[in-house]
Parts: sequence; C-alpha cells; structure tokens
Amino acid sequence: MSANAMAAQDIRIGWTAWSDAEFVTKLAKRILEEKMDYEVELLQTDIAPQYQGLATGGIDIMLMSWQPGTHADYVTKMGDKIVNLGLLYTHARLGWVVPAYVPESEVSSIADLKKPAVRDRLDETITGIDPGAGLTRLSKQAIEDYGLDYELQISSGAGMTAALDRAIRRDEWIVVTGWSPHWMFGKYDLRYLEDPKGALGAFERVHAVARKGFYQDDVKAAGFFSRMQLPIDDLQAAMNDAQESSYEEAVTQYMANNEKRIHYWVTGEL
Amino acid sequence: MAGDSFITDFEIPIGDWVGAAVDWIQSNFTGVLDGFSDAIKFIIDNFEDGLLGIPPVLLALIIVAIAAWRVSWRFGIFAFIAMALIFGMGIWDETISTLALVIGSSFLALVIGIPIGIAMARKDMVEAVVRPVLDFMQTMPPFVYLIPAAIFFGLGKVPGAIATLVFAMPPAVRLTNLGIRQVSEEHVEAGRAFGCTDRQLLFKVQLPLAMPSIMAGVNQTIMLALSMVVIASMIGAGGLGNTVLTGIQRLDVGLGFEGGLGVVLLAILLDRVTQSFGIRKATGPSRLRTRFRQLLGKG
Repeated sequence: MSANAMAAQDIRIGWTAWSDAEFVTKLAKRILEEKMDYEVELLQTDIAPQYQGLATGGIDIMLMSWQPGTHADYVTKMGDKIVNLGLLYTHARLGWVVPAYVPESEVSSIADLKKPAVRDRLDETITGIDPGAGLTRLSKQAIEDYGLDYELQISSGAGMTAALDRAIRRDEWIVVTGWSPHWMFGKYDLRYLEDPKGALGAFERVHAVARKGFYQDDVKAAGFFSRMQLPIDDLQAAMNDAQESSYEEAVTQYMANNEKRIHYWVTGEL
Repeated sequence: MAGDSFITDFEIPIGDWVGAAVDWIQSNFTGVLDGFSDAIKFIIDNFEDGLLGIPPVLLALIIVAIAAWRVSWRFGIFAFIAMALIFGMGIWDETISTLALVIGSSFLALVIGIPIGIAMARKDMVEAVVRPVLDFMQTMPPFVYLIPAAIFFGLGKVPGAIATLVFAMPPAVRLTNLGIRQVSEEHVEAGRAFGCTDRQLLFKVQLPLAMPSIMAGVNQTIMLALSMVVIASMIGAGGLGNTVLTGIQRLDVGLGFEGGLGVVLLAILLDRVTQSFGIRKATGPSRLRTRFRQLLGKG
C-alpha cells in the first residue's frame, strides 16, 4: 500500500566492494525503490570510511558489519555513534584456505603447517589481505598461537585472490587468509583448514548498522532493514549467479524467486 | 527500433581480450616471467639488505652528509631533523624499505627509459610510436597495473617494483627526448664540422647539453615512484605504504599521518638531492670549447 503517496526520500546506503555486500546492498536498493518508493543513493568506499560515515551521518546505513570478531576495532571505536538494526545473514566465517588439490592427508588443520615438508612447499608464506583488516589481525594472532614459523604476506583483497589464481594455474601449494561468503569458493575448488584453537574466531554474524537517529527519522525503512535476512546458502548461490552474469541480473532473479520473503521484509506481514 | 537494438547489441569486448591476453602470457611465458622476476628480486633485495645492513645511525649520518654536501648546510640541518623524526616515529625500517624500492625501481626505469628517450630523439618514427604508449602508461590509473603485476609476478616487492617502474618511467623518456631535441642546431653543426661520428656527437655534444633536462626527468621519475609506493603496498610491497594503509583501515588518523609524513620527508630529501645534480651539470660554452679541443686532440 503505497497509496499515501509519500514523497520520494533519499536514503544513502554505503557499501564496500565485497561480493556479498554488493549483492545484499543492490538487492536492498532495488526493493526500496521498486516496492517502497524511495530514492536510494549508493556510496562505495573502503570499509573504514563506512564506519566513519555512519558516525558523522554522511551515510544512513551499511549492510556489512561483521560481528563479533572481524570489525571489533571499528565497533568499539564507534560504539555509541552507530545503531545495530539486526542480522542480515549468519554463518559467515573467517579462516585459512587451501586449494582442494593440497592433499588432506598432509594438510588438514593449521597445526599441520608446522611440518617441515609442508613449510617448504608453501615457501613459509601465508598470503594475507589488507594490513588494517580484522582478518589480518586475527591471522597474526593465529601464527603466534600455533607457533608457526611463517611470514604473513600483507597485500589486499584483490592481491590475495590474484595470488590464489596464480598458484592454482601453476598447480602450486598456497594458503590464503579467506572468508565466507566469497566468490572464490564458487570459482575454485577450495577448503578451509581446521582451526582447533579457534584462533580465527568462530562463525561471524553480519549486521545492518545505521547512523544514530536513522530509526527515528524513518521508521518504515528501518523496519525493512531490521526484517531483511537471507539464508547463507541463498546468498552464496546468488553471488555465484552474479559472478556468471551480473549483480543486477542476480538481484532480479532473487526477487522473482523470493516474492513472499520480500513481501514480509517490506510490510512485516507474514 | 532496429537501430535501437543495434546500439544495445553493439559491443567491443576489450575487457575479455585483455583478460585472455593476460591468461595467455601467464600460461605460455612462465619461464620468462620467473626469470625476469628473479632478476628484479635480486636487485631490490640486495639493495634493501645492503641499506638495512648499515647501522641505522651511521646510515642516517650518511644521508645528512649527502644532503649537506649536495645542497647546502641548511638543508643538512633539515635532513638531520627529518632523520630524527623518522627515528622518533619508529618507522625507520619501513622508510628504508620504501627508499630501497623507490631507488631500485627508479634505477630500472632509467636503465630502460633513457635509451628509449635517446632513440626517440634520433628517429621521428620512434617518437611517433612511443609517444602514445607513454600517454597510455602515464594516464592509466596506477591501480589497474596492480592485478596483472600480481598475476605475473606473485605478491611482494617484485610486482610492486614493476608496477612502480611502469608508472614512473614516462617522464625520464620524455625529458631525455626533449632535452636532446632542444640542443641547438649550431652545436650539432659545430660538432659535425669537427668531424664527430654519430656516437661522439651523442656522447660529447648532445647528452652533456641535454643533461639538465635529463636530470629533471630523473627527478620526476623518482617523485612518481614515491607516489606509487603506497598503492604498491596493496600487492605486498610493504614499507611506508603498509603504515599508511593500516592507519586508513583502522581509522587511526595518527598512524596514517606518521606514515604519510615519512613519505613526505623522503620525497623532499630525494627531490633536492637529485635536483642538485641537474643544476651543477649545466654546461656553459667554456666547457664546450674544451670538449671540442679534446676532440681535436688539443686537450
């Protein structure tokens, strides 16, 4: 019922170029525009400026706050300036990842990396991502906890996937610091190493986080975000679609297949 | 309607071609790429190990001495303060690592770039071909080089140096070309009249006269290399770039500023010292005369 002819309002959603965030953000934008008559502006930046933007009110909301572990730095820093609007998906996780052709008999858990033969094959290197990332902080901790004699090669998300691609083409062994949901699991045959000490944290939950006051300013939109939630398998499938075609097509596909669910997000009626 | 569908159907898949080309190079030239990679690794690693092998205080004093000798005693004082700041902020190792990468990749850029500049100056045909390539290298956003560099050369200092080299080389080529072309006809005529061969003309007349311009190119290349180091740390080049990125990513303004200040101090030092070589090398007519005398065997 949009018969009350609400004047179009702007909502500014921030996002970072991670494929899960991109899908969820573009899905939210389409629903808000097509079903709720909002004008949505998307702002793409790196992850840190997103939290900064929420704190200063430059953006209204972002849909990729990884809690409790990955984004702990930001959440504690911005604690009282941001408001959590609830879960988007669960069972996101961090971990160290190897290509499937690395035999499980030799490397199944992080502790196996201590074997001299394995260390040589891996060139004593763990391929990491950005220097300031939560995953990097936890990976450094893991190297310490397991007493590994390895260097964590700092680069960036793109650098890590490029190194993985290169290793797989050359049939070389590699360990990368990774996370789910991520498109690399759709493109390559990979597996997580077991982490008996839990150094890289357990499963993470991804939340929608808004600027302070957004809920009061726009209860309708805030209600939509607090109801929005996807099963992780649906999300991974949609991300694979997006890699094959485009995010826009994957969103269209998802909206066609999940009318009931989206109706609930929009109206709150089951 | 038909026209509309033509517009929407018309596509040139350049992105796919580039992707395919990268795949093809990667699968067919593995050996070549690895050899290239090892050579560059050797240069950069040795350079860095050499610099880090010198006790920090001694190296800092050497840098201060160079600044005072090449520029002025006042600049020596600045260099001393800069070194103190870098020690004080606890970013000495990162700064030296960045310095090694900048000097190493600038050195490679000059070894490749200056001969190309000379070739451009001597043949209009070469200039016509190389110029658009230089435009491309200089204007393509430097981030774009990162992923092919990482795919070809893995992660670390080597792809960082290569991405830096591509980004920083054009000014050296351009200004070498320009400097040689600006050597006046009279000088060239005079050289010819004294019976210079082409080689002698180049080394004894054109290059000495073009030196200020060439040194300006060297200076520009080093400055561009320095601006690339932060970006190159996204593929594992490390150094001050990591400090800056960590600061940005953790919303730690102070840390980001410290890394940034390190880059600025390094830039000022490198800029003034390389400029000093350009100024002192300026050749007046008196030196030319002695050169001609030498050519005639009366030196």
